[in-house]
Amino acid sequence: MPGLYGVEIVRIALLFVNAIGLWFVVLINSHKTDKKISNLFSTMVILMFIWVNLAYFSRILDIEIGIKLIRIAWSVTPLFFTTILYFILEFLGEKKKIYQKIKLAFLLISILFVFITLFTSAIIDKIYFINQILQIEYGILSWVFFGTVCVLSFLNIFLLLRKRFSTSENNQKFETNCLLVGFSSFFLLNGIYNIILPVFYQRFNLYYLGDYSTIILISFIAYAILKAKLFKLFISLPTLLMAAIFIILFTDLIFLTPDPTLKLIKLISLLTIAYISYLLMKSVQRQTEQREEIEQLVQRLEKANKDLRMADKTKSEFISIASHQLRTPLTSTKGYLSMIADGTYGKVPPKIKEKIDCVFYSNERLIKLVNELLNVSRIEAGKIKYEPEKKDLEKILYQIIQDFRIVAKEKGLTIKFKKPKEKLPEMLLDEDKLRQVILNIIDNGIKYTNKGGITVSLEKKDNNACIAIADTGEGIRKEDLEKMFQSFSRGSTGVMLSREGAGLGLYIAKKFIEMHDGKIWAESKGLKKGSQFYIQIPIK
Amino acid sequence: MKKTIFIIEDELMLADMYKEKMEMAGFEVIQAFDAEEALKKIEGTNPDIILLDILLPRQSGIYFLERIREKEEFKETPVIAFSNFDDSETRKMAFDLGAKDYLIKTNYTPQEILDKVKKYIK
Repeated sequence: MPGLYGVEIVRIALLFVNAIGLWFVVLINSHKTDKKISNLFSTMVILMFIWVNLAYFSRILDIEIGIKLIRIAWSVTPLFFTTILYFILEFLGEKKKIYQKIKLAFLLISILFVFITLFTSAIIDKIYFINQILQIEYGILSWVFFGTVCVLSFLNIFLLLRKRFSTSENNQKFETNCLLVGFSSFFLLNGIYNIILPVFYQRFNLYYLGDYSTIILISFIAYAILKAKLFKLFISLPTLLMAAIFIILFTDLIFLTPDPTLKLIKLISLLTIAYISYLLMKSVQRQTEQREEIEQLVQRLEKANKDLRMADKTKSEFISIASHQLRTPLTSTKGYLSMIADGTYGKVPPKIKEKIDCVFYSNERLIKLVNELLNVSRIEAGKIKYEPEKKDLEKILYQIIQDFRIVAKEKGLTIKFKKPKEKLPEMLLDEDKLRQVILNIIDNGIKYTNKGGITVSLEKKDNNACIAIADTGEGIRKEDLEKMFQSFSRGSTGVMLSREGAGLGLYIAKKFIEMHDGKIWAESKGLKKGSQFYIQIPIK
Repeated sequence: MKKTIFIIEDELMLADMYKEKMEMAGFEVIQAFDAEEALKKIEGTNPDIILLDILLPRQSGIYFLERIREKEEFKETPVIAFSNFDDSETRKMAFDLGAKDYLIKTNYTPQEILDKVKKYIK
């Protein structure tokens, strides 16, 4: 069993580097990160594996194999740095053409170095051992090799620094800081122990500090990736536990299991645990995503509520502006026409007065339409208040009917009021709104009746006040009865007889009666058979 | 002696129309076009009735009504509020400040407003 000294520490460190690297690959790929990012990350880790493991084995095997292994390890080094360049540009979202060209150039140079390093002695000429420590004799192009690695390192740091000082978003700053710390640490350690000490001081025994510093870089990159994806990095306890179990089993497999059969069984167990961990982390990630989705839904809901409140406020402002702005010109038109018609400016010839009366009447229709439209807007915006007071319903109906007598008489119609047998008590009514309803129905009755008349009756039934307004007019088709109380509906009779109105009066009437907790409906035996409107209001 | 009516109305066309109607009916008319002007002009006068528009520039008619009700000489002056803004809260505020009526302008001809003035004048 190997002891825990010198070489053994290096071996254990190598195992940990491998285990942690593998773990991060599983972690990144089990989270829904950008495909390119996770591929680049995985490529980095694979190149790291090749580099650090072959560099280690080149030092423990014989020279003929050793030189081949170290040349392979070194051949992937420029590629490793180029992959970091690709990763940084992708992570920072740099799409400029110049960077595409730089990436391609370094990729081609790195591939060239792969072939030069592997198949020539231009980079590594010879290796030999002194006191069991591998020594390297560099080839003629080794300075180009080191120079390329240094240029790539400086370029990567430059890109990160530039991003760091140009971004104002805290999240992005944090991620860039992670990459900067990781890369700077790696660059420093790699530079000192893999370039400066061996090249200038022929000290080769601390190479592993440079090689294994790759895991510092990998760790910071993994953290930055996960932090960028998850708003709150949530490394769950099960994930950490699985990571610890994996590393322990991996170490046990390599160190404490000489028996090949047992080694195989343990390897299978390890792979199974790795797969289960992957599934577990996927499940944790799904939960995190669901939580994030809920948070986003809540944010969207809050925004929607805010937008609704704004829309409501805008609607109210529109109603207020519309009522004032629309009505003002109508007021002056009404005012001056009435003053002209009543002789304020002198006697008006009958023919001209007739025309002025027409214009006045049209203006009144427009006023009525504007009033109804504004009422509908206010009803739908919830701006109309129900303001009940104790009132005598019989008295209100009587006054309204009195007001219509002249109009009805002018058309040759009768208008009657059937009083209740039992006097109704005073009841809670919003007189203003109820008046509008009764006025509207009687006005419609007169409009759609050419002979006969209107009968208004009131009676008490089961603690309800029941008003019936019947006319001997044109009647209503069965299919129109229900639609009449919807906005912008006038029934077929309305279309035939008259082009006045927008069909809002009965819609408003229904809303006003509903405010009283009452009901309103219409009945008719059909066209030319008259119609009856019923209103039922609970006596409160 | 002529009765005085103080008309506060910011729409020039309507102000002239009501002024003309009231003068033809034998009233002396004082006009103002906003609340601040009205507060200045009412000092030293003793109108028999005030015809007050509610939606005025800068300060509303309610603001004017609140200010004059603080003064002893105008506590009992009849006020008819009129507006094309039919708002129940504003209406209630006007009545709480002693307005005799709250009319929607489009619903009344100048003659009908004159009838209301004659009904409420002191």
